[in-house]
Amino acid sequence: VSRLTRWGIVVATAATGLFGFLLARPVTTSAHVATSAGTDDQGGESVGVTPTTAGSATAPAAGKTKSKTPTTQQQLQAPVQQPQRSNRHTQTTTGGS
Amino acid sequence: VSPVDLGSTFDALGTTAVVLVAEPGRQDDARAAVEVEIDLIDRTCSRFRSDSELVALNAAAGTPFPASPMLAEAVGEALRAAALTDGRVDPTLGRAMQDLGYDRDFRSVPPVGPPIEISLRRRGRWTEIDVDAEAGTITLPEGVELDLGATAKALCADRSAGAAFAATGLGVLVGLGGDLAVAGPPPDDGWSVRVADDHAAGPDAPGESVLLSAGGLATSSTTVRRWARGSDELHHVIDPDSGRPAAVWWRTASVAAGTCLDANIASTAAILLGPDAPDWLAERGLPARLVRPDGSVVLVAGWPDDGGATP
Repeated sequence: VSRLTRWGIVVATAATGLFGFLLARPVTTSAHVATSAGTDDQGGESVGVTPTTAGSATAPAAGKTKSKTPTTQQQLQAPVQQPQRSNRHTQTTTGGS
Repeated sequence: VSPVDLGSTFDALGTTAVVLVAEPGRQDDARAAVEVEIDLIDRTCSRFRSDSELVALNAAAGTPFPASPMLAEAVGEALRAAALTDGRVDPTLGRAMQDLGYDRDFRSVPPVGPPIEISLRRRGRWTEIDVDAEAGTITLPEGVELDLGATAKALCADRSAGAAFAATGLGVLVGLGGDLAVAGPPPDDGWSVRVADDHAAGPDAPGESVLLSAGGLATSSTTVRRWARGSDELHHVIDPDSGRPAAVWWRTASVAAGTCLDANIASTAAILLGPDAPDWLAERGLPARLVRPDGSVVLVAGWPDDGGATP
């Protein structure tokens, strides 16, 4: 094998490896939407993203919130326990105010 | 032990505050913790206090305003509410509220008045609000005034419940004008809550009672905080498209969620969504009770049926 061919093989192998590495590494999207358990959590960093519904294609796009402060839940939280029918005495009332 | 023994009721934020504790003996500690939170949110977010931080922020529209952590949190949550409702729960309707005559504590708003003119404004200006957490500033676009009324009270309820639980170690329920937040272990199988048109209604008011064990429960209504200008009957849930009170598809919308804030965002959105509200709530797994103007009820996402007891 000529010297030129050997160098060609070395270069091709390196290029293939680099290409494979680039394909295999995790991809980070530019619009990172952080989530957390609540408003008091010190969540991740959300730069250039106004809160949007995760996965929603219809959420308004806006890019004004530069947050290194607590990030907030990006979806409305469903209750951990459904309200149940009550037959007990009423302790308080919800209604318009 | 009666409910009265377990808590207290007092005026706050232009409405009624309720603090309930799961066991007797720590009511004063719970109330003290709640009053700290109420005072903080009032000084920060009131539209009707000339010395509030929100009034200063609105006056500084167009320039970066150094915001306290509380104001930054409240504005951040208001923007989140707008994002999660496709702009329906819009915090930039402060001027629309003023135009409609709701420019002071509601108890001081004249119930009737001369006709008013509504000027249409561009929708979606909340997307132009710049919250720079690194710099600690908020910049409103010129011509925009924030009204945090749709979110700040519920945020305060959540914070207050957390603070009262931390102070007492006991389960607590905090209600601010019908926005209810629960923290800590509830009594028995939950807090028994009457769901009515008006939060000030008594336990026998038309409606139904549910047990709430965690999170929050909120009701938005088009039947309270009503006033008239000319021949127009007005209420306080404003449609951002028209700048006018939303069409009354639902008399009340009550929603349970993981927090009181999320419950209130969803209940306000439900009023604005009209006929689309049941599907919108169900898609998000939010149990809800929607009441039409004729009194008929639509239950969503597992809200318990009262067995036909609802009048």
